[in-house]
Amino acid sequence: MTARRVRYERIIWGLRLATRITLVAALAGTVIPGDTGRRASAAAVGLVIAAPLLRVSWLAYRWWRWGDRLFASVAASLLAVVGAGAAIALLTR
Amino acid sequence: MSFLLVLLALATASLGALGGLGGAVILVPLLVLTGTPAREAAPLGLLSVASRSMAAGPWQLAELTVHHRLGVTSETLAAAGASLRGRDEVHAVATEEGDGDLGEQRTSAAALPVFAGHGRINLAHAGPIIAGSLLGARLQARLDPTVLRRALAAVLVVVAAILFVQA
Repeated sequence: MTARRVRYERIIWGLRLATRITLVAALAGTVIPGDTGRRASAAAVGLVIAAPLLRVSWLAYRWWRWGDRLFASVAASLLAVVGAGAAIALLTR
Repeated sequence: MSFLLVLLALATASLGALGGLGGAVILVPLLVLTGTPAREAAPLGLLSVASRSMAAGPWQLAELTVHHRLGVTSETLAAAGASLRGRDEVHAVATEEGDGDLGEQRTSAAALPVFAGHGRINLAHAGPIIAGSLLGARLQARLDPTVLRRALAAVLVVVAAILFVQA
């Protein structure tokens, strides 16, 4: 196993876990009627949206810790753009 | 309806992934044809793409095929475009000038919060779409690429024919 692969082990584990939880929530949202099913679907949607953002946050933190301020700033900018888009959408709803 | 959505998402995720198109290219027209309003179909298509990307992420990381610095840099500008386009599209649909555009796979993470903020994600349909897409991504990894490419070509021809007739 390469050093790079070892570095990614934790995020691979996290993404696999998130995928499994999302699948369970989505299936629950499919088969359970009413508010409970709706909440399960909402949880699945939240996880699908949050997973890539958490991944970028993790990258930004890691790059910042290693002293790579340039790419840490780029990752933070990406999160800021997405956050601003969501905030504007909520405000102009 | 839920079972049909699971099947549609499963089929389009497994076919679209291999064709490099993103399942939304096939899924959104099929959703519209089965009675889902275009205003709801576009976010559901993005959900399908984002779900499939989520399922593919661990494999791509394990195979070391991801260049994070390149991805994050290009994604920053793409996210700005997707957020603006999501807003434009909302306006276009609201004024009945558009029929719901598709986002690209890379911009789904940016456009989905915009759609969620506008309350355009139909939760009753989101569950089946996500479940079908995640299962489709798993199925795609186990199927023969040649067979999948032929199936994808056949599905695209059928979708094109239906849309041509309906136009």
